[in-house]
Amino acid sequence: MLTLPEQSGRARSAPKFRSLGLPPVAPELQRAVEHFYHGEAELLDDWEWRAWVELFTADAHYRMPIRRNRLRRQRKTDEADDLGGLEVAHVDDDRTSLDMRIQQLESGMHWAEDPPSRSRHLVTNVRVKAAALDDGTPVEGEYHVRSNFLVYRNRLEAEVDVWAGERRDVLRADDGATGFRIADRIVLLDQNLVLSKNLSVFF
Amino acid sequence: MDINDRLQELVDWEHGLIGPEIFIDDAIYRRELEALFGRAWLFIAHDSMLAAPGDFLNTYMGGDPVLAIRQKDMSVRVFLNACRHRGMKICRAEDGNARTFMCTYHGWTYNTAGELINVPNLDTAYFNELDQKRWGLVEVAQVAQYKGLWFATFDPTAPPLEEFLGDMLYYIDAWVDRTPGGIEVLPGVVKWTIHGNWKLGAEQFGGDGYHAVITHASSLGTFDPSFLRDIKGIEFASRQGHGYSMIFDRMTRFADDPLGRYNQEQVPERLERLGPDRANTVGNFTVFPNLSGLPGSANLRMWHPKGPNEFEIWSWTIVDKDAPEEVKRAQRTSAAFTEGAAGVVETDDGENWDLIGQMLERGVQTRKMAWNYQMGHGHETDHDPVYPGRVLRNYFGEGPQRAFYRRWLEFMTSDEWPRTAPAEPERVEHEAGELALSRKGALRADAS
Ligand code: FES
Ligand SMILES: [Fe+2]
Repeated sequence: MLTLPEQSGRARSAPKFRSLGLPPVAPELQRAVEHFYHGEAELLDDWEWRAWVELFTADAHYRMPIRRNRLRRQRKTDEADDLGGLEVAHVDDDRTSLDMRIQQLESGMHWAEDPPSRSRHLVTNVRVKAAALDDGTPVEGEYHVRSNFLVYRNRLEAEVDVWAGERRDVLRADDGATGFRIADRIVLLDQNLVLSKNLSVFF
Repeated sequence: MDINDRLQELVDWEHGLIGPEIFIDDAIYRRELEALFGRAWLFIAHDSMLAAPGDFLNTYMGGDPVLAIRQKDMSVRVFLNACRHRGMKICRAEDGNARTFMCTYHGWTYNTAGELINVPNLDTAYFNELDQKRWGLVEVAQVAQYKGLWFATFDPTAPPLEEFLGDMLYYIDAWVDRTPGGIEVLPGVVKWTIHGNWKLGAEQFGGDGYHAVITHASSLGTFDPSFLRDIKGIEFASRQGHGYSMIFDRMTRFADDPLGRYNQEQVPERLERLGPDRANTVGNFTVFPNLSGLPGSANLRMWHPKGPNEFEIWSWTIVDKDAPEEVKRAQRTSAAFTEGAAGVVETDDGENWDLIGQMLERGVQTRKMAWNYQMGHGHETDHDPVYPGRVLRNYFGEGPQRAFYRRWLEFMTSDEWPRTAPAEPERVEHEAGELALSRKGALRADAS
């Protein structure tokens, strides 16, 4: 609990977390989701791509929209919303095409990742919300989670990329070992012009 | 040594030998910005990217930012995106719609016709003595379009666009004109950065089908192994520097996707419009100097130079304008899977270009080592009975690359716009429908 020094003899109430627009979340749930992300990051950084892709449900989408430079008055408040339209994207995968990317990585001929990149996925600012239908009915065991990432890549001798961004996930509680599965992921990479020679790692 | 002599020595296109200094040397790059990008016709936009009056987009012509704006009369004008006061960018959004552009430095404001229409404190700062009419935006020398593809040049002496495109028109028609409605470009650009020289991308798209088998073994070779087996096709090399590697009897990269089915349905129409020699083909092309594309993967792109050893790829997805919405959506999804910074095909191209750039930047001996451009040399003809240009009846070859550097050398070493001898005599075409008439015929059809 935050406590603030008393001023002029009157206690000031601590700022409320809720006032930032974030709903309260049970500490166990918060911990479970973060634990899941730490495990996921470990799979990626250990090059366990096959195990990683199994974290996605069969109906999952994994998408990375482009980020645009537009005047405020013309940009959509949420760039990711445009995914329903025809705007081009960096990635627009379903589970089938995601599996094909794993197949490519395992082919032994995907030169952009062979030798593989060294990566570190740092996942922070995890914000969990229980999923609900439009009329407010909660969706049992489903969560909308926003998190921030910083991904460091180092490859071959001297190549370095640092990518920051946000992930918007739909997680489903799962009885299996991992606790959750990813039913949807939108990756917002914080670059308009991608500053790297490729995006051959997952986020 | 005089730079012209040096360039002649480095670019021995006739023997298929290129000295890689042309990919890294700073003086050569500066000359390139002036002599090549300052004169050649450069791609600006497709019609659909500037649909309504006031629509604008920001792009580059060589090293310089330009603003292309659709006018009320539906013409397109192209201006340097630089304020006449202190050279600040007057428009920083990549695209949008506007009536005016206010420079955010001191507030000089221009309209869509490039006129300076407002100067803050004109009275108290300039004593009303500034002649606004003389301080409009700098405009490019010429703008022209071919079937909705807009190009511009800084050189008032450049010959007409059609002459510049030359025998490439026959091949451009194969993807812009295959349906009555033509093409449209989906919204948005995928942009990414390679630390290498822009010509590495441009020359590869012109003619290097050879790399696909190895570079793309994990994608093209794995997902549809038949794609790279027994490729039948041709290579086209233009005297104007353009090139195209064409694969016969394919309509998309992956045979059984939804686009393949749509394309299959389109076959009769395409056959009628284009004739059997162009209808069901895919491939990769470069329109000299830095526009490229992949008909078959619906891709169009620019290679924007950003220094001797850095370029940006700006990649668009094109669809048939009249195609159903779900086909356009499928094309968007398919293009994202294969092309772009994260495309399964293209990630492996980045690995090549970037590492070559790193080596040239640091090396001395590697810069002196001539590169081999001899593939298919001596097996080409200028008199193919079907295809215009210098043609190799084989998918593997480096004729387009030799033609590219021959033309590049001419731009780099001549004081005037390098006119070539008149093109080969107009070819009389087989009965392929009105748009596959002679080159001139196709142009007339467009002008009407
Ligand atoms: S630089 Fe544009 S108003 Fe001064
Ligand atoms: Fe390639």
